[in-house]
Amino acid sequence: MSPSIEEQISHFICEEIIHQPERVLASTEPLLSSGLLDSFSLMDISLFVEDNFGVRIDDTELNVDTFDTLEELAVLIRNRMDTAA
Amino acid sequence: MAITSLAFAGFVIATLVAYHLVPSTWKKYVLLIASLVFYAVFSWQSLIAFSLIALSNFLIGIQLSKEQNKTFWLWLGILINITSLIVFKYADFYLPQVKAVLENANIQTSADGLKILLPIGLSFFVMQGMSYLFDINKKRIPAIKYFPDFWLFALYFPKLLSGPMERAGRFIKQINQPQIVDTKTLETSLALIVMGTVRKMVLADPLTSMLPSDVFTDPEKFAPHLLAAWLLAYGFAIYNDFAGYTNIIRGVSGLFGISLTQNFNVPYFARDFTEFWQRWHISFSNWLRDYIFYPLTRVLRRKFDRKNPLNVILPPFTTMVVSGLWHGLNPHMIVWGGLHGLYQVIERIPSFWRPTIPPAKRPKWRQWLGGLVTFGMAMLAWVPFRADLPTTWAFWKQLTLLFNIPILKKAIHPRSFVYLGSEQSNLYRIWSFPDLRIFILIIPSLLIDIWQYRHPDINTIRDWSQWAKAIALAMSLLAIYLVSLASPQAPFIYQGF
Repeated sequence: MSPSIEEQISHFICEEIIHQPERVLASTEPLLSSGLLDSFSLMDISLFVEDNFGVRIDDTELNVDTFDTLEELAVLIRNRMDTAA
Repeated sequence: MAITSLAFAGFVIATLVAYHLVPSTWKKYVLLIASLVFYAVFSWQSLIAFSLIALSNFLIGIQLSKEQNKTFWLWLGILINITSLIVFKYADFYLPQVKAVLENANIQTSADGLKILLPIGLSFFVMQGMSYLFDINKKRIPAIKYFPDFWLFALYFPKLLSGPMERAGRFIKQINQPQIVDTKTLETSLALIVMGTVRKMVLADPLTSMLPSDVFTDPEKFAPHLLAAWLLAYGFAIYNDFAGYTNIIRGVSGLFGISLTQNFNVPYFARDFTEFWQRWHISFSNWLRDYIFYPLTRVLRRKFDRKNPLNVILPPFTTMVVSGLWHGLNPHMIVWGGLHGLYQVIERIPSFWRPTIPPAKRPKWRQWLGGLVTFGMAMLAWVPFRADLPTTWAFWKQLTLLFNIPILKKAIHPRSFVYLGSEQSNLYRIWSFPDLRIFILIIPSLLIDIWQYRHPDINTIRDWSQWAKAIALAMSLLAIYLVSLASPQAPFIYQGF
């Protein structure tokens, strides 16, 4: 079974951005409002999403008003994938 | 018409009466007329200039939405906005040269002609107009098709002079669906107005008045500990001035049921510079992030590895230099912006190998140390914000004497006259203590900040008991009254931008 969107992004964040490969992010853990991710990291995630799921997250959406948790980000991605399909 | 004047209070009350008497479909026209009157009081010429720029942005917005020749229309819009900024705002930079050229050609003229037209708040107006065009171009929002709506978006009087920079989509929705102002909204709005007035009149203005007129022009005259105290005073003055302004206009706008973006969130409690810019002048920081930092980062990240020095240095540095240029076309503003860019670059480097820990989860000592370093470096950066480059350098150089222990030891020695020479010795003796009133005023500023830090949502003020509200209100009004008797009111610092 292939990993879910949340798992893939969690793996990317822990491995590449926060350098804690052994960690698994909870899907409801605040990422932006907690300060875990900053503007630099958000662009990395945006490009990762674009490359792996074919979904574009606009620059003006890279903020806490659009998503704050993996769960919210995954919903956004799924909705866009459904719209595109 | 100063925001803290009785004339402004009367103007707002008259507008409120009209706003709440007319049917809901007419409310936005009341706000539009009030906004036009408000700005005409400052300058009817500027009102015409603003309205023409607004009209051009409105028409270009419609053209952009038609999907034909989009590149042409977008560049035309950018050109008009940037040109207006250069013509009006940077007049001081080029008018003397124009005047000199004309005088060389034996043409007598006055360089003051364009200054009359310098519209207050132009920089905010232009940034907001450009983001509107960018957003339509990227299909983030539809173009506004009705000019009075756009005119009001551009000229809404509470935010006209110094922001916050609103995004069109959020604002237009609010003016077309007026909210009922219930007692809770009324209470929060009045609390914001009182808190803002205290910040401006009780804290910012007295702190500003304590600065000697030549501290930012001739710093070498003063002992380093005095310069440090005055720099602290300036840092808290500019913060309380701008945060006070934002509180007042958010409160005023709340009385009309229109919510404006929060612009400050206790920035001096930031634990690093990334956090500082998430807390200082938030609407402007978000503008820079969305329209400069992110697009530039996106382009560079597609070309280079994320650890490539270009990726690390260029986006924050360029963004902050643009921020400096927005404040003024001067080398010292570029240095101010560049310093903030540099701070962010330096902060970024350890994140390439060190595990990231959110600020609130760092050990307490690291939070405190980070907070103190960020605060100190932000204070040092205020010097080029306020003074030209040679003076900035002299100021910083003089401050380094704080760490010159032998000189300090000699300064407090009973025979310091012998060690230091008469001039420097007198300097230390006469000005042995910094103005204690500075620290007395910083305490209430910090207390308000601590309260805001613990209660980020202003609505929690509703939970206070009636007694607590009454006492806080009475103390605030008394302080405002006493200060208004003692010192003349200074204009808002950011109104100059």
